[in-house]
Amino acid sequence: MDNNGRLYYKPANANEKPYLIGSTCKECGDTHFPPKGACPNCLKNNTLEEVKIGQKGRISSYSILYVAPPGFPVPHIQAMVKLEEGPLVFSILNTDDVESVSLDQPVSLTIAPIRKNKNGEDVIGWMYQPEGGGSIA
Amino acid sequence: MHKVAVLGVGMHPFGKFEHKHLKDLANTAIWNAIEDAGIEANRIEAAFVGNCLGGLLVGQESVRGQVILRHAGFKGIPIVNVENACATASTAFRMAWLSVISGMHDVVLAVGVEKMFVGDTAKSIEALSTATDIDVCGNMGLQFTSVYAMNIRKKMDKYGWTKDDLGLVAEKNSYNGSLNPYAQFKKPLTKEEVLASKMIADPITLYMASPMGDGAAAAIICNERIARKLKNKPFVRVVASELSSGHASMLESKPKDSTTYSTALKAYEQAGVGPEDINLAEVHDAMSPAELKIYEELGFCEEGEAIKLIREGRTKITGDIPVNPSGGLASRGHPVGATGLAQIAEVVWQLRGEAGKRQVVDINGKLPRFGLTQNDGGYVEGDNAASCIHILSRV
Ligand SMILES: [Zn+2]
Repeated sequence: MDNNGRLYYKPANANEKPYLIGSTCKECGDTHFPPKGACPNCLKNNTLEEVKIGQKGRISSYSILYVAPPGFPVPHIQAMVKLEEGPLVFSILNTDDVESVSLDQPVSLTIAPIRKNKNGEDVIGWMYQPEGGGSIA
Repeated sequence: MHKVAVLGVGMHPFGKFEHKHLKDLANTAIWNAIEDAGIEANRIEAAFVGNCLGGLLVGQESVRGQVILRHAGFKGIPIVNVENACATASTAFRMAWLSVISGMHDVVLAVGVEKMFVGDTAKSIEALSTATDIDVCGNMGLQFTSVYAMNIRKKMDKYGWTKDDLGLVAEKNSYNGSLNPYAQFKKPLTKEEVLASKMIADPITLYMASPMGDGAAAAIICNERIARKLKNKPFVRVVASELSSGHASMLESKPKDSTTYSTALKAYEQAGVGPEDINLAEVHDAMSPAELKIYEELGFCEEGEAIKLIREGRTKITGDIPVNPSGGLASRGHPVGATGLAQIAEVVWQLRGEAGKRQVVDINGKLPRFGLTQNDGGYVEGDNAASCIHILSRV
């Protein structure tokens, strides 16, 4: 399944910015990622609308993985990112400087190859990066 | 409502058993439980069979319970296949309990079995990562080592846990595991050895992590009317069974806002006891330092005080609130779909005074009266997907 247009938007040219596709509730204002079919806060039907989110966030926590399945660079960093809009999103971090990552560090969104699948092909997805980014993917 | 007793428990040791099939592992646990129960097997009216990864790892889908139980000699009875990530076996036990407490059945079997050594480590690790919302976690690369590592890092930052504290939990549990004949690892480790082992997902080292494993565990439960007629063993009553799906944030919720806490509160209410009445607990430490947060989420101490419990030795077998006397997931082992029933088996043995060298007694030499099991499973929307808690009591 192609997740571009379903979970995220991958820019078609240099003038566009990537974003995640979330949902927000017209009644309670809660914002969700991944986008929901109904609001988990209100538990009512038809209160949601699609929303573009996720360009910026902060690292809620992270771990440096020194052992990883085939297809991942070693080491690499996995993180939970608290988006400005509220949701916590899992992401591999795009950085070459694993030692300088810290809790609460600001990060921004990029859409990139995050790992290789079994056939050696790139798996595309969202990746957050501290200022400057990296070439880990 | 009816009252429910655990009549018997049984296990197949946890470990690496390359030449044993799912059916063989389960057969041993099932018949050990039947012998322990001291009843005729033909009195078993229904079975709930837990397994998580058999579809992905051995290719047996859809009818695993029926295949496993036919091998163990059972035909004709209703069999329900149960899957609930790492909380699979405790969920199977709970469904068996529901079928007895409702009055529908008198004698029921719950079994959990897993076969993770299939000659392809990468395949097994990938299968584990599917216990998440794969759309946004598993497919994006999330590993369970990192779920635990991120959580532990956050607590270290918030509550001043040190690497020594993490090592101490693994030291305690590896010692307990060394006393358990069913444990996968029987070598006691020092805190120093734990911290010096390979860093796998900072701050988690190899000796803090639960291994892949093969194994099975089973329980026979029954209406208490029947248990009272069989006077061969002290019987153990199920005084609480609770199951929740996640509603909080593993990283950002305070202990008393966590899913484990709300589930435990309901269990304490159902049992008519409080955390101070619990004499021992088997908890879900897939990475052993996770035990610390569970102390707080089960109400064994206040927020931020978990490190006092471990530093003062209060959760050792000889302490006032022993946790994971079996060795926990990292030492006893964690064949995913069997773990919950291994926890229940340990608590039953402890309450009956049959736990051998790892037997918990109070300062007056008295056997424990209340034991708790806490079994988590999966990761959805930043929280445990399933949280299952049981409280058992010696009658
Ligand atoms: Zn709402």
